[in-house]
Amino acid sequence: MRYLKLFIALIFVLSNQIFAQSEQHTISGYIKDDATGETLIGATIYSQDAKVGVISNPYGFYSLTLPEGKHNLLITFVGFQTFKKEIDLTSNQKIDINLKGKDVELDEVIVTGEREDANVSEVQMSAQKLEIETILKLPALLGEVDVIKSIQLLPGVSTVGEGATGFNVRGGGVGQNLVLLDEAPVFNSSHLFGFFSVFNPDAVKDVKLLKGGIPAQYGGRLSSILDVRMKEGNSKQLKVQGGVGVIFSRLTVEAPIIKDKMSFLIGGRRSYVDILAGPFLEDDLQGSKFNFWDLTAKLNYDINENNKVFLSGYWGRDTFGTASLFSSSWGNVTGTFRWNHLFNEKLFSNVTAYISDYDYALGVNDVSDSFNWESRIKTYSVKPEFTWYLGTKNTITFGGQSIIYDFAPGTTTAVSGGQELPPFSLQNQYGWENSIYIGNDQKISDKISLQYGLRLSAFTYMGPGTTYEYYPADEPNQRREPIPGSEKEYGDWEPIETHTNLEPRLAVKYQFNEKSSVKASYNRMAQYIHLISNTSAASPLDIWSPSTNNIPPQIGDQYALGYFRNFKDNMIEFSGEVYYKPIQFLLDYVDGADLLLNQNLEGDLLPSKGRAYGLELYVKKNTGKLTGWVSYTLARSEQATAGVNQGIYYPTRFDQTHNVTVSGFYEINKRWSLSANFNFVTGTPTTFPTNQIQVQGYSVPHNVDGVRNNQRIGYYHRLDLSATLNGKKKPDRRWEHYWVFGFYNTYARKNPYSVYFQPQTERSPQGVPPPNQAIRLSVIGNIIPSVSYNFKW
Amino acid sequence: MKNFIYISTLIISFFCISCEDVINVDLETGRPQIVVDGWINNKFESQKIRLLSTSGYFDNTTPPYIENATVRVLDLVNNKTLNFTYDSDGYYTWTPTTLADTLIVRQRPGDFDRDGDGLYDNYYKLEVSVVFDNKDLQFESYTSLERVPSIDSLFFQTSKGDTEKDDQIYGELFAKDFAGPADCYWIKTWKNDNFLNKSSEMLLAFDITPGRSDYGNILTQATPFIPPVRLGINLSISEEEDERGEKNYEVGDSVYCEIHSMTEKAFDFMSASRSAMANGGLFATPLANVPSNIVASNKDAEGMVVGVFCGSAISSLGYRINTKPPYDNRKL
Repeated sequence: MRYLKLFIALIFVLSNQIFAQSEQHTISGYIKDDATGETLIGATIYSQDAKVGVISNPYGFYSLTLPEGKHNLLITFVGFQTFKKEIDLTSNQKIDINLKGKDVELDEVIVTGEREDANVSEVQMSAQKLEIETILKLPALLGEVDVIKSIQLLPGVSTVGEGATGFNVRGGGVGQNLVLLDEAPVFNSSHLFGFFSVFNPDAVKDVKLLKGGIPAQYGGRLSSILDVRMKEGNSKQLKVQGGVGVIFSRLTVEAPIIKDKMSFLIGGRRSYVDILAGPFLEDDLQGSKFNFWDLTAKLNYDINENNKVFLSGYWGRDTFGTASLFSSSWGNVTGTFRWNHLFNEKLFSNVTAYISDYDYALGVNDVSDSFNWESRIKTYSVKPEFTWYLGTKNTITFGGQSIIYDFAPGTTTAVSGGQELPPFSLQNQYGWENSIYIGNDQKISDKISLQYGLRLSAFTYMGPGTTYEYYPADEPNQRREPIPGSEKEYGDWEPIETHTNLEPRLAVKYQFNEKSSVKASYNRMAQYIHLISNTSAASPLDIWSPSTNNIPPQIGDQYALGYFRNFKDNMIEFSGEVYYKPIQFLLDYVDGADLLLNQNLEGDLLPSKGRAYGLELYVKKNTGKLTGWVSYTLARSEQATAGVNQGIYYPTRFDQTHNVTVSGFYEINKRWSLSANFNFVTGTPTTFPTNQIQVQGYSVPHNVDGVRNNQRIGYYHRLDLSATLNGKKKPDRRWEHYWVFGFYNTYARKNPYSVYFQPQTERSPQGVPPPNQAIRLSVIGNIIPSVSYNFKW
Repeated sequence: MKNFIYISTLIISFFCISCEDVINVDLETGRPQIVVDGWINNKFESQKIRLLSTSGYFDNTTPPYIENATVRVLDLVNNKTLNFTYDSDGYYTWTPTTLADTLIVRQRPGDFDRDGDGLYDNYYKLEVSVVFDNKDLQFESYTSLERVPSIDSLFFQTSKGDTEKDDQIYGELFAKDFAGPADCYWIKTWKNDNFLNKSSEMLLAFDITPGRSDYGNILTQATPFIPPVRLGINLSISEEEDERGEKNYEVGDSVYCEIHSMTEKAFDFMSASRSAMANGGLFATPLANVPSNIVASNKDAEGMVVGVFCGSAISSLGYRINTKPPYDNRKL
């Protein structure tokens, strides 16, 4: 309530300002790429005379209110020529701007001193934007360019190792990231466990990661928002691009349907490891299936100057199995419909409706025995959003979201020895998440800007379903049994438990001068759905659970402070940030927890709390023949659970003290360019045994004081290199092609993924346990060369 | 899950990029604790309970024996005390004098709650007192002997070989789990009188499945074990053993199986032990201590004792492979 009062006071202050202003007019419109008609996200439009500017929103729309009179406008965007326009403002104007690419003309374009100083001038901190051009240049595993692997090179972002699904942001778990593809959530962003991500780089327009200072329009996860936006499709002419790599082949087609009004994009990828491997597989693996594919499609239509609609979809699937006995598969399907509507030059709205369906299945089918398991999560959502460009100094965003969750955690059918078993299913669980928000970007003076907002979120765990109450555990780390007779039945849509949270957001920027600023932010996030996983890497079989009558939502705060400084006309940008994140509620698991197909899963969960803090330093060189960045993260991520590690804080599996990344790109000439990437990470924590217990001739590992994550596996470091050879460009032909040659893990280091303890596999004499041994697993223990061929026309 | 891990390992190794190396790790040995290895059964034979000390994880010598303890088991149904006396190698023994003195197996459902207090009754209580580390420790544990199904048959088939591999004989155990929840079993197999003693050959069943499941709640009739349990009586052969030409079963081999009923707590202990000894790979779980059912009964004993106490009823069946079994029609 305190926050609400503060908020109303601020609105009051700001409304006074509105009436105090002199005669003003608004220019508005879309900023687009001249060559393709794609709207540009985050382009800056700036009046040199009024010294105010605004950046285009995720749909390329801008609205800027200026005093009456002459204005010199500068429109800038990374990778594009700066556009200058002089206007005489006497009334509201609609101005659509088309920016030309830097390499459009053959002569070197001299870019005027106008800068991309967004990192200093914007209020938003802890945000990381990766240009798709940068992602394309980074050396990649097996030459497959990858969005998720690329963001792991940024400060504060990490992974527990190669092959691990997802990513960790500022000490948070994999399930604490909201991964959005055209605003629809993607529950599993990985192909082939974690080796590749589901995003087709040819179809991606923009990638933005928010680690902190998260504005009010986002919510639902504690750690980060990864906002991936797809291209709309070339509205000028037919464009085809694709490539042939070691893992995937890919092809993307985009074209106008009605020139400048309606266009589409469709892109697909398929792996062909199985096809290549087929002839080499031994008899019993003949016919093995392992493939993954994805298809991305989008259609957009400019109905008129005030209305635009978009339809986008993603289909992807991973399938693994033997010819007929064993099969396993998982996949995401998302569909998004969006409608942009301009009420007037100052009020922009977007309504998004999406469905997202994630399913995973396992099956064993023999002659007289079978077992099939299926699980899925469906979400349906509507999300209206409004942006009100109030004046030169305020931009108000408000809106809401309603999400319905349908979890089917497990449905099985089985036959044993010819006898059909009764079907066994865990009950479906339903949740309804509703939120409303309002936020304001406010410029107080040339030096001080604010971004503040409030989000009110509520989650209702609802029927149909049965709830249980549990006995308290005798000791903290013990399975709790349901109380007989405590079952309660609930009907369709009947609320079981509602959790409500007020999530305040605040960010402040103080700009010393054009080159430097300091920013601070606070945000509270509430997360109502939980990834249930106690393995070292998240597995595709991990289930999600809603907050229930027994599982409270996760609530996390984040305080961050940063200093931003640019050098040499923004050629070099520097940022340093510190953060502290206390988390009120996390999940932990009883020892030996049984997470799959467990009717009383809630009894195997333990309440836990967490904290993460760290320092992130980032230096980036933007221009010149040599570009790139150095990032360093010093961090800690800890968790405390009664009954685990004697209740004392212990480092989480993704705690990495030091994480250094150096990424560099060097352009030798017009045809050859090189890139390199070096990564050093402190080994992740793990638990080592201190003793053995001998029982019945077996030697069981034992840690005498039940200490968790008391040791670290060795350092991780790796160097990747790649070289790009551009084909000769012929001015009269649109065909362009390039080769990428790469080496992953160039000096073939056997980086540890985990160290585990097992008895030797040789048979030992009767009654005597075999000797124990420690084994280091390196997921990638060798240098991996790659080559790929890419084309477009 | 096992298949899933197998397939994932296969895919990763297809890239020829992952590798596992045995490494040297310096482990600090923790303070010693007492380990109770107490398994009693309904056979007319000498009953043994073993007390050892924990030892360093890489220590290959036999752990120190606990020789000076007082060990007794109370029969809570008949109010009798069974005094176990020290024999050797850490074993304390007690032998029933007549057949009528053998331990009793609880029958369901009537025997579950004899005194009608709504709580699960145990038949036997272990009491141990011992001076260890200059402290007088006392601890206890409870168990019953649960019902056990008979083994219907041991069935052998031949899986057809090819140019690379010979024909392979493998066995399958058929037994039906009782209707009703949480029947736990440990199935032990001997090949030519040698117990299959690898941790990867430890075969447990929770009702019809190898791990905990809720099937017991929904099955209304006796049901055969599912294949991972039925086929679990075969050998686990390492790559090196395979290269040396070691075979699963051959004509002439004798195979003997026993089903030991277990309490749920003992199942959790052994199941966690099996996981801890097999833990590894991409989806390893953090090392967690196995859940002991031995409870300290005085302050000094807290945090000083681990292990398991369990009673079992035993059924058994043997088979000699005299001729080559018929070929199977399995898919793999």
